[in-house]
This record gives sequence, C-alpha cells and structure tokens, in this order.
Amino acid sequence: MDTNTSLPLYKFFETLRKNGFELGIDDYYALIDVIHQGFWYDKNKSILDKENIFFICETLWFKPNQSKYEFKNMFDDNFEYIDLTNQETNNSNAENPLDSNLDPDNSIDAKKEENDNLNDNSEESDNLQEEENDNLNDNIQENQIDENSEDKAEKVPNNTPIKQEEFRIKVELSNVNDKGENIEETKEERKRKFLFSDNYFDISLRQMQQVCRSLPIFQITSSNNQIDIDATILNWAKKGFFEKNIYQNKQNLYNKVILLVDNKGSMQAFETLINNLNTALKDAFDVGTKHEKQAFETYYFYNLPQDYVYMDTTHVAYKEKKQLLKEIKKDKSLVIILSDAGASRGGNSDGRFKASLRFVIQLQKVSSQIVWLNPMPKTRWAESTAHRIARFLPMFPLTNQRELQQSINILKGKSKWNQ
Amino acid sequence: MAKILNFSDENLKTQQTFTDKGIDIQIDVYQPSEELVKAVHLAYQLKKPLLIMGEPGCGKTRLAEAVAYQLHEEKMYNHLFVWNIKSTTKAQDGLYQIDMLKRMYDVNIKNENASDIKKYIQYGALANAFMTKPNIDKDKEKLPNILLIDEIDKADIDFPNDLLLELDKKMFVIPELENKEIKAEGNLLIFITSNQEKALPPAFLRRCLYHYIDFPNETQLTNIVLSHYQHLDKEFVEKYITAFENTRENDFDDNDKKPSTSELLDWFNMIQHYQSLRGKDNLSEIEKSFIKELDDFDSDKTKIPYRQLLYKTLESYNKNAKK
Repeated sequence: MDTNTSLPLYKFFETLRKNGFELGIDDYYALIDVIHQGFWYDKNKSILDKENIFFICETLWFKPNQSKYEFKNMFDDNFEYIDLTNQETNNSNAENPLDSNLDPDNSIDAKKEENDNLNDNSEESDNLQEEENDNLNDNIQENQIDENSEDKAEKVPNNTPIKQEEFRIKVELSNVNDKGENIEETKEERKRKFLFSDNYFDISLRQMQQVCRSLPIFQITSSNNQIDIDATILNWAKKGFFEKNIYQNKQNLYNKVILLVDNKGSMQAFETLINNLNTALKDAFDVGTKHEKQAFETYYFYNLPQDYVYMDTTHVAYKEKKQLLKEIKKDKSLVIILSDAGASRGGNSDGRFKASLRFVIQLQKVSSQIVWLNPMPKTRWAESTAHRIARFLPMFPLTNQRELQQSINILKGKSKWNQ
Repeated sequence: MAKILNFSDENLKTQQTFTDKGIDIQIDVYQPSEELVKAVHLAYQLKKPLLIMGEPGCGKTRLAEAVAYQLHEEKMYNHLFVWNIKSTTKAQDGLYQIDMLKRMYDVNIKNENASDIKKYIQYGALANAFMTKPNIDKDKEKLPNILLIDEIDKADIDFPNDLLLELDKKMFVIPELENKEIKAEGNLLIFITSNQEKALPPAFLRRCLYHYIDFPNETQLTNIVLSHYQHLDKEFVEKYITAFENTRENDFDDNDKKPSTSELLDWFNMIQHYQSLRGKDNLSEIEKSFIKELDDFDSDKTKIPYRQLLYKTLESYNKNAKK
C-alpha cells in the first residue's frame, strides 16, 4: 500500500476498473499529466480542490451510458488528498506560468495520514470525518491562496505543524466509542472498503451488454455498394467504352433474434440473470429506427413450450407455438434458448429429454441458428438432462463473458459449433 | 493555450458580424456553461478529442463555431473544419477520395491530366484540418485548428473505430501517392457530437474526453434569451421562461421531444416580434390573432402562445391545446 500513497487517486481508478469501467493505463497517465501541468483554465483556483478533481476525473474517465451515481459514490469513497511532495513536477510540456503554483512544500501528506486513520470508522465518527475533510479542504485552500498572493517564486514557511496537532487530538477522540472504551481497529479493518453492489452472478449486466452489442446484423438496402464486376465488364464491352458501374442486387438480410426463456420452477432463482440478458439484448437492438428495435423479441414458458408461449414473465399474454414457429421461419430469425435443462436440480428425466429434443428439432427446421444458454456452469450439467441435450445443439454456460461471446459468434455465423 | 476562452467576455455576448471573402457573416451569441468551458480547456490541454452529448438543440454544434470565433476571429472559416456525418459515411470520406471514374473518362478522351493522380485527389475535412497551417496570433502563439465531427452516432457502429489511428496520432498515409504521410501541423482541437442514438465503441470512447451538456437552469436561460434580444425587459423574459420550464417539466412524456434551447430562442423570436407590433395600426387579421395569443397568456399563464414552436408531436400538442 505504500506505493499507492504516492499515486494520486489510484484507489479510485482501481475501484472503477473493478466495477466494469473500461479504463487503461493511459487514462491514468492523463490524470497525472493534468495534475502536474496544473489546470490552465483558472490560474487562481487550486487544482487540488475536490470539486475540480471530480470534474477532471469525470471528464476523463466517465463515459456515456454508465451510472453517474455509482461513479460519484466511488469517487467519494476513495477520494484522497493528493500528495505532491513526492511528485516530480514535469516542466517539459507545460508552457504555462501556473507551474510555480504547485508548491512542493505543501505538506499535505500529514493530512493524508489523518485521512487514512479517519476512514472506515464507526458511524458516529462519520459526520466528524466529513467536517474534518471540509476543514482540511478549507485549510489547503487558504494555504494556497495565501501563497499565491505572496511572491510565487519564494517558498512559504511551513505553518502546518500546529494544525497537525489539532487533528491528532480529534483522531484520538474518534477512536473512543460511546462507553468510553478504546476501539482498537486492526489495520485490515481500516483498509477494507465496502462498495454496495448487486453483482450476484458471475457475469454482470455490463459484461453482457458489451458482448451483445456486436449481435445485431443489419444490412442497409439503400446503399448497394457492391459492384458486380462481371456485369460491369459485360456492359463496357457492349458499349465500347466505360459508362458506369453496375451494382449487385443485395438482398435485405436482417436477422431477427428471438429469446425463449424458461422462467418458472428452478429458473426462478435466475430471475435477475434473465432480466439482465433481456436488457442487454434489448439495448443492443435499441438503435435508430423502430424497425430495427422490433428485431428482438422475448417469449417465456415453463420448462418447455407446449402449445403456447407467453409474451410476459407472468405468463398471461400468449401466442401459439405454431404461430411463433411460422414467424421464425418467415423472418429467418436466430433463436436463443435460456433454460437450465434440469441442471440446477440435477434432474435427469427421459421424458423431459425427449420433449426437449422434439422442441429443438422443431426449431432447427425453421431457424438457421439456435443456441442454448444455461445459467449453470458446465460442471453441473453431467448426470442431468442438460448434458444430453448439449449433444444436439450448441449449449453454453451463462457464467462468463467469453462463453457468451462464443455463443454470439455462432449465432452470427462467425464460428461453427464443434460437437 | 495562452488565450483563455472567456465566454463571459464581450466577444460573444453580442452578435458579431464580419466580412469573409466578400460575404457578410453573422455570428450569433453563444453562452456556454462554465463546466463546458472547463471541458474545452481540458481537451486542449491534454490534446484529446472532446465528445459532447446532450439533448438535441442544446448547442453542441454551435460550440465549435463559437470556439473558432474566440480563437481566430475573422479568420475563423479558414481554421474551422466541419465534417457532417451521414448514415452512409465511411472513415475514408474524411481523409481523401480519388475520383477514379473521372480519371477513367479522361483516359478515354485522351486528356493529358490523366497521367497525374494528384489532380484527382479530393481531401476530406479531417485531412484539411491536418494540412492547414495553424494561425499565429500577435503573441506568436500557434492557435489550434478546429475540427468538428458532427453527429458521429449516425454512421455505422464501426465507424468511430476506423478513426482511432487518425485521432490518436493525428496523421494518415496515402498509399496512392507513394505512402505520403499527412500529419497535423499544429495542435488540433477536435469536437465530436453525438445524439446518443447508438452506443459508441469503448475503444473510441477511451480516447475521448466526455462532457454532457445539461439543460440550462432558469437563470442561465434568462441570460441566454437576454443576450439574444437585448431590448427585452428582464421581468418580461422571466415570466415566459417560468412558463417554459413548467411545461417542459410537466407536459411531456419520456418519448416526446422536449423543447430545448433552440426552440426557446425561436419561440422568443416570435414573442418579441409580436410584442413589438402591439398598439400599431393597420395590422392584418393574422397579426392581430398572434397578438391575441400573447394577451391570452397574460391573463392565464397556462395558455402558452405559439404552441407549434414548442410541441413537436401530435400527442403533446393536443394535450396542451385542450387546456
């Protein structure tokens, strides 16, 4: 952890990455650049101001379609004052007189230690901590504003020792609980940080969204930009000179995707997973025109569709299975089946297997590509119906991004299924 | 950037006019929020493109013009490059196109030009932005060229990924001219706008800074309107803005198009025009009925005048017509 104290906001950066924000090392370098060069926008305001830092982090690291609420929370939880005493000020690119403002003598590290101690205390001291943070903030501001008003080149005498003592006293008080007993916090307890999240399954909504984004396969009919070379040459030969390109007649190839979900019985436990997959696929198709939005549909059933499939999770609005199969054939749809096939309870029934197989064969007659997603990991399929069905069509566990990506590749026709 | 963009300066508080190549050009007032100005500075400092999103009509496209005017003043159109993306746009369109068809015609009619491929190259906005020499101001500072890539989400989902190298290294190669390298001469300020119609690829998002233009609050709206129509009275403007805010809050479903800053300005254009006609003689029937709408509003604040300018869908229009 010692190396981390000299890397400003590294904890925040790490937390963001762990929670699915796609950030690379150069994103972190960008922040370091700004801190070293100072923010050219407003010479008088300190860049170390919490608000300014949040603005910079937000502009650099927050991307559209992410949760701003989560981002702000993670920032607040992981914010640490930036210690410039160990940083080397980078003068090569900065053409700006602001650099002299970054006074290396600002002993903010003492205050940072205080912060580390103050973090993760009991709730009563939380308010105290916030007040102190504000005080710290004000103190840093005052310090720097004083320095700015004096001659920038000279170093300002360090007048923080007095303030350090004040903080030390406050820290001791907060280590005492209601009964007046000393709460000895272990180092681990202090360092442990909790972030409330609802990622119960191995694959998160964000990961699903990233993969599903590549699924929609549409062809724009209006721009026929494939030249039919033979026809062009023929035309040229006929006319005796080159007149124009002849374009191929491109067929309107768009693939509808149908998601068939088994959502009762043993699949009840996977409700969140079902919803996440539904959302991820809906978002992927949620582009531009209404026409394209309708290219994704979800139907629900219990164990296996008998005569009807349902348009909602409560199995009220229905559609006949025959009708659905007809539509799949007409639209050349791709089909994703989401069911555990008995793997969650380990059931191995001949009846269920035969019925499932019959259904799969019906689907294979009308659809060009079918894929079965199983919420249980592969190790749980053995000795259950799932493992028997998996021999007849591609079945993937919905437990990590890679497997989902493979299933999508098969749907798109990018890869073939090896039995 | 030595020249800090102070939008609170006199520069864009009033309408500016100048002549460029014999044509009179008017630059409208532009009042950005402080956050937006900070984001622009950050983008320039870090030499990264700035991706701007926001409601339609909030001033994303106009930002580039305003920044160009602030930096280059009357020479702005020499240093501002706009690339309007369509759904059929490919990355190559911004770089260069070689008119091979024309060259083939010229070969057929035995034109001498045909042998020199350079005569058939047309450079796109991105290439022009790279190749134009930067403007040098009186302090010998190199002022950046400005490139606006407008509505990038209209194109294919792969389109932003095709531009990664060009945006990163600010250079590209022309194989047909024996691998000639075109590199950006000076610094380049790139603005990219998007209407959030499609998700942008993560590899592209990583290379950009992101800023969302929030809808302005009442005070900011009042300032915007007053800077466009300086002869109006502040109280007069405020009462219409309150009605505008109320209707924006309450009368629109999530699917309807909420009126944004540009609709507000069009609306005020009508309001101030007919307000000025009040009390005049020889008005036509239509003009009188328009003035009557203003009177109706004065008596009942729910009767919004000139609804056609604010309500763009049949549902929202009918909902408010019944009031």
